[in-house]
Amino acid sequence: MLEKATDRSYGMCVGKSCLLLQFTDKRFQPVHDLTIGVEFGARMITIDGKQIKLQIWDTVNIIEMSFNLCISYYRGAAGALLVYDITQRHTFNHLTSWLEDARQHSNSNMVIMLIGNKCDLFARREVQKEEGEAFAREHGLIFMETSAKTAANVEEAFINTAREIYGKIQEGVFDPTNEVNGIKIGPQHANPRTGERPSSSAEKGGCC
Amino acid sequence: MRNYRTDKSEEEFESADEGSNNGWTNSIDNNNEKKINVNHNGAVSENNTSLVQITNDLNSVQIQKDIIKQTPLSDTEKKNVASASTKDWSIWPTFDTKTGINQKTNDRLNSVSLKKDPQYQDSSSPPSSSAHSDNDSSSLEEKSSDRYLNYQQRKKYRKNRCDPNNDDSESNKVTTRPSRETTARDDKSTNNIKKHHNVHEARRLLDHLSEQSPTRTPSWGQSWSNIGSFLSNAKSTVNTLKSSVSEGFSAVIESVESSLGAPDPEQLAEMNRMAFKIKGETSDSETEEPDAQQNQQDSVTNQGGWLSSLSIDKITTTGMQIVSGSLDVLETVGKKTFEAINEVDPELKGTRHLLKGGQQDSVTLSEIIRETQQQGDNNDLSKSNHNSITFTRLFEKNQGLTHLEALESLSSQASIKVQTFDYRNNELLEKIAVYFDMENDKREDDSSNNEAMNNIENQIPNIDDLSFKFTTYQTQLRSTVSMDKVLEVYQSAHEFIKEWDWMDTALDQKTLHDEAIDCLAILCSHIVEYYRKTAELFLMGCKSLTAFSVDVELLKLFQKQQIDFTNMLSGIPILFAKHMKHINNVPSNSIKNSETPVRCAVDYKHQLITDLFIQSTSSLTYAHDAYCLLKPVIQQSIIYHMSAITTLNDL
Repeated sequence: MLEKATDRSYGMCVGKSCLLLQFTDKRFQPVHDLTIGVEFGARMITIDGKQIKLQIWDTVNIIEMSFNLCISYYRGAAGALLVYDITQRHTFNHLTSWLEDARQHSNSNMVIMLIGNKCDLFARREVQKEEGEAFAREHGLIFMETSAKTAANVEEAFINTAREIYGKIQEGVFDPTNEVNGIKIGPQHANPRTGERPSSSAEKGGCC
Repeated sequence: MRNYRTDKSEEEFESADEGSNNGWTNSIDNNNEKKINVNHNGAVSENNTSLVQITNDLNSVQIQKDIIKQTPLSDTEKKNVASASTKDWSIWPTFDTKTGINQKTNDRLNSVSLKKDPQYQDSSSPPSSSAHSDNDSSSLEEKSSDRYLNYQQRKKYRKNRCDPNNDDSESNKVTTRPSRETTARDDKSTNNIKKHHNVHEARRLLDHLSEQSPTRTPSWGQSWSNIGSFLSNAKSTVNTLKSSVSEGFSAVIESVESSLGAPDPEQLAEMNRMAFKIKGETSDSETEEPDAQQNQQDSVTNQGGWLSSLSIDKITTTGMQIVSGSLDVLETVGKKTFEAINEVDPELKGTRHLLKGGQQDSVTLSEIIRETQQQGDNNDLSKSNHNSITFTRLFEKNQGLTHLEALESLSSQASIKVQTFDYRNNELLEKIAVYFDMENDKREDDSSNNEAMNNIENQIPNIDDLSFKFTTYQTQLRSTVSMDKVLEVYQSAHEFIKEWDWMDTALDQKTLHDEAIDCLAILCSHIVEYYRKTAELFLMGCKSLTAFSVDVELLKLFQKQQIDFTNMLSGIPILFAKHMKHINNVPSNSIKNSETPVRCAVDYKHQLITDLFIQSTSSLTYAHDAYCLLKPVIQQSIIYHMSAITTLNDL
């Protein structure tokens, strides 16, 4: 499964690249080069006994990103992680405009997960968990608070998104044979039992 | 199973109507009706109507012949048509209610999101008493049954046209009809009878045929039952098709009769049987049953047997026409069926559910395919575990394909933009495009570097030269995209060869080979990444005038750079291949102190080297593709900046 991800803006990092690194390499790197354009990460996970490759596109913040890049990269995504920083109120305030853009440029069925990152820094919290939950409920998103530093909920966030996409494939909302959705039936791999190995592409949306 | 059903329908029929003149046709219709009712009633009957239209075309040949040969009979024909339709109407109540019930069952099923319903499954053979008791039908049901009526009428009309003498002979036939074939054979034999107007002879013939039929029942009937409930409506349409095509065959027989003198009924039966086998084969091929194939072979040999004694040309050409015609009909039926199902049930949820429920104990085509695919996958997997280090696999592993995908999406977006630009820019666009046409340069290279190419050393670019070149390009282009990764890989490839004292063993050779492909994959993936980042830089530059862009003249640098990339990519296999050949000598020197190093077989080594070069070509292709993908992005960027500057100047 491919999962494209949007990550981080210049100067204001909400920790998108860190989340990705935690998920793919299981490590935390506090000092990170700024993402230019898009970086990639990939990891194999297993859902319902099926091997799925998540391809995560770690993109720059949508506000910093050129409109051209934005439409190109968001088009072929099956899901997105929308990340804000719980210690920076303005990253949360940008969510609405981001969501509008994402919905406009992407597949309408795209699974979007809202993530409040840096929940280890509860002392400096500016956005309450309830606010995030309310926002997610209002816009039909899945919500989770994570910490790339302590790895809390990081796995769950990615895997739940993948599970949601997988569910949509099962329901027939996404057609895995159509690559426009960012989902590919992978080549033969380590799971002879199932035969089907959908790959999907999800975008992780960063917002700050 | 089949016999049981036929009996059942007979009983029903007899209880409903004692006028058994049309007995056998009615029972067929009953059969059809039952099958049709299993799935969406209205849709399929519509289908059948269209099928009848098609098959009528097929029959027109026969009918024409009938008319020519039997002009005195045409009056009775008309009568029959008229009488048949009135008879049909007398039977309708039975059909009507039955259709209504089944339709209702279907409706109920649909409403409960097609839950598995025992009644639904039983609906193929409901007790006739209940069928009569339930009489209230909604307007929708009436509509569908009307359609069905229409279909039945047309079908009967056609049947009656085909055998105008059924009043004379049909009464005898009600007793024996073990399978569809017999009916077809009856059909054909009535054609015979109508020539002689001899009821007794007809009876004799029929008895003869009915004696033969049980032994001659070919295996297609069994295979059909094996399929289970796999699209039973398709089954019914195919059945109808079969009977109709058999009529087409009787047309051939007619023509043969007229030109060669009538062959005896046994031969005709043989021919009909053949027709069924061929058709059975075409429709049963989904089940992939070996005996079906055998049947076909049998029929083919039979064909050679007695057909050769007759006028082969005539029979085979007409036969082929009919067979191909019937295939066309099958195709149309399939398409129509899909359309019809799609209309009723756009997401195919209901149909899927039906198939799921019915297929529990039967094997389907898709399952077979899936199993085969899995087996293939397993084989591939075991193979790949052994010895396949393919470039593509490693390229994917190193995210090369992802970079390429990203670059592709950027490029396609840009090319859409470029197409919307003013045509005045065409000249400029072409000017830019020249720099991306690598074919011309290759020729130049070939001629100028011919001598140099002969020397292998010159084909492997030097690292220092490369890094100097790349730094120059970067400063001139003002590009911020780093080249370090590309150079790093290239350097590591050189170091890899030097860092170990390689022996000429199969293991060492294989390791070198694998390493070479790995290097190629990583290098290629970095090159694609470089282009992707450059494309991003250009596109981000389209935001403001001060941002990144290049002049058309500077594109030459990109071209040169691409040539360097290509040289690097082709340099790696040359470097490794040279070394792999070179280490040929090493074990021969060390042979005196140890007998262990087993020399690598020359064949194996050549195989490895050849494989290396073959794999390297795909890396060149990827790099070249990536370079070409940059074209629309650069075009967009340059045109954006040019037009922006001219508007500024105008102001």
